Amino acid sequence: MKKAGLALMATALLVTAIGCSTNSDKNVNNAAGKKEDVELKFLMWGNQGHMDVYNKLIDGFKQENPGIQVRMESVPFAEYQQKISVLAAGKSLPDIAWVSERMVPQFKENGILADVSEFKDDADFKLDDYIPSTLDLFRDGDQLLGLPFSTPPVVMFYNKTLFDQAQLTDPNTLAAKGEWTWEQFEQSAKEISSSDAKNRVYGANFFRDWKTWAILSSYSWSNGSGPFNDDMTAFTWNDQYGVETFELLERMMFTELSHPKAGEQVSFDAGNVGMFFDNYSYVSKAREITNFEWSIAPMPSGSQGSVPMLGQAGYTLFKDSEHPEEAKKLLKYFASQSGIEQTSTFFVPPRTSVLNSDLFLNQPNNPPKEHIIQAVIDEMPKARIIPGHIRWQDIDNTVLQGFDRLFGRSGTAKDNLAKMQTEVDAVLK
Amino acid sequence: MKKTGKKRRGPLAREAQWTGWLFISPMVLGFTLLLLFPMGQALYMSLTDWPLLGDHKFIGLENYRNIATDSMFWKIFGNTVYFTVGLVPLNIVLALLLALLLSKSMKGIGLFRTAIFVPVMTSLIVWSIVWKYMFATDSGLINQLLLLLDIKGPAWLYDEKLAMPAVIVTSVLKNVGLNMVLFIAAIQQVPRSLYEAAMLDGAGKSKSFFNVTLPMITPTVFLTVVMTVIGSLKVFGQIYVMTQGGPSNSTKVLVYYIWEKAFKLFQMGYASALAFVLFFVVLILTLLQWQLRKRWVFNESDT
Repeated sequence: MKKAGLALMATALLVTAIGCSTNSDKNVNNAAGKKEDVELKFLMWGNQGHMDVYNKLIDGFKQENPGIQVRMESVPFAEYQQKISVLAAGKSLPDIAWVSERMVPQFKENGILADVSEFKDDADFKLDDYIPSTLDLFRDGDQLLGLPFSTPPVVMFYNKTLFDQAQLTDPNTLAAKGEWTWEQFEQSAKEISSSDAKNRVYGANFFRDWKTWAILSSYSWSNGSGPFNDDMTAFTWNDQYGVETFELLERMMFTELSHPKAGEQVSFDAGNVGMFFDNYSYVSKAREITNFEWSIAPMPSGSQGSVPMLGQAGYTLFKDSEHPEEAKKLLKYFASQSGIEQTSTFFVPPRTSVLNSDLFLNQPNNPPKEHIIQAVIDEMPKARIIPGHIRWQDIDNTVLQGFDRLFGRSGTAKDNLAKMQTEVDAVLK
Repeated sequence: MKKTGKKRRGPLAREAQWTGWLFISPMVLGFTLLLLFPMGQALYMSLTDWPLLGDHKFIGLENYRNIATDSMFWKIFGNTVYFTVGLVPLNIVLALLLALLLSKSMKGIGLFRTAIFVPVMTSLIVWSIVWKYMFATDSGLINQLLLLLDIKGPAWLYDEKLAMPAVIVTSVLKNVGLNMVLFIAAIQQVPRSLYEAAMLDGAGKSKSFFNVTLPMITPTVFLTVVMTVIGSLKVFGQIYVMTQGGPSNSTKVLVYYIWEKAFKLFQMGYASALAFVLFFVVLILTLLQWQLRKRWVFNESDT
């Protein structure tokens, strides 16, 4: 009886084992059958609108390159750098991916990016059409480790309807007269706000996800200072202008009640925020707004004029790719003039020819052309990038803790910044 | 007789042994492959400097030495203890009170039991997101209700003193139902005759609770305490969703720190060492509770 049971069980196990192996055989056969098709994996953090544009691009690419499939996958921006790092450790990186300026120092250090400097020699590609400064991020000695597709300055989105209701002059007009200052900004925010619980309106919001503190650097920059020194070796926010930045935010949050408090979920497109700071790329969402009028304006200016923060995003290839030649073809297609033209629906193009074209300016539902010229094209030469750092995650964490103290109202701006300086400098050293 | 018995049992035992092994092989295989092997690997990692990418090198006990002198670790260890000490008594006492209320068989009692048990079945992430909204400073439900009473509510999740209690309350309400169900089952098994005897001896309600109910359910109290302590030392999800360890690290707990070191800062070796510290803390606490149980757990069948 027992022997029978044993035999039965052994058979059962055997059958399962055979079942498994047959399955895997089938998979192998499938893969072998489609061997002529190469599949490229493309990783990005875009939303549905972005993906629609890329799907069109990919269809065009597939027509020119039969036999190459492209699989696009989107990962939320907050987890993106982590995801790439983990994929790199697991040797399963995509073939081509978006990267933002914050991520590049780490990926350079890890040595996972592939060189694409041969694009220089391709006359059709016209690499010299790129604004030279936009390539700096990707240069490493003689190597070129990627190509930018978007160089958005931070602009101010504002709710024109709220400005009109409060009978205020709009920021574009004020900026043209040179009167769009930080004081004016704070005043406008205060007048737009309504703290009536049922109909709460906030004058301004600096934060997307309560993480984008870097946008506030503009205040110091516009007064000739900044959060870090140029070679990223010291924290310099702990000066008069840094303290003023913190006090501005503190006043707006707790005294004038014109800025949402930490953790509130408010969004510009809901219509109860007067002014919102974000990359130009946010137009992709703003274009869908139908219940109020909006436009974009430059950052408020300080004693040295207005200085927006510049973000950058680009494409990179990876050294481990199994299909490096095909990946290069796709990169060339994405970053070619026509590729950049198509993505310029959402992104500020790094190619001069596209940046100055009507195609970029006249997208459906775009803000007026003059406003884009005023807030984006004229501001770009003044824009600044926060220098990259290999330990950016640590720095970001430490600065966010300083903002936590501001949000929780523990201590003065001065003490807070002094503490931040000690902690950030410890990371930078 | 004995000799032949042994001889006859020999081959049979061997065969039975094989069958036994075969029967438990899925479990043993799973345990070895998915638990024992990764644990061994983590132990080795904890002795190395292991960045996510690039070469790792063996550095002996240096990670552990660094943990001992890492002031951040001690703050976080303190936070973890705070969370546990805040959560466990609250959870157990509340669960016991609810169980006493809801162990009686009345009409519609099932509705109340279900209501309190539903959070246990809810996804932790969903639960935490909802509570995060409720704790919001201006638009949150809690502060809106306080506003009706003309009280200006604080910034619950952005105040260093309030954030941890807020997370503790959220966690208690999420999990109290499970302990309550265990207590209800235990209370209903206490023989009625004991209460009758206590009543005849003139014991009131509270006396019969402390002298009959409580001693009779100590095995369940022990079980729930051990499980809740272990669970609260391993808290992560609600912290990740509600506070991300903030404000100013006041809610950063051990598992969150391990996650941050491993997957944000990519110090795999250090993170593994931290994980082993947590492992030993849980082990020691559980052994300690196991030893102490002889002093206060009654009515246990001898093992």
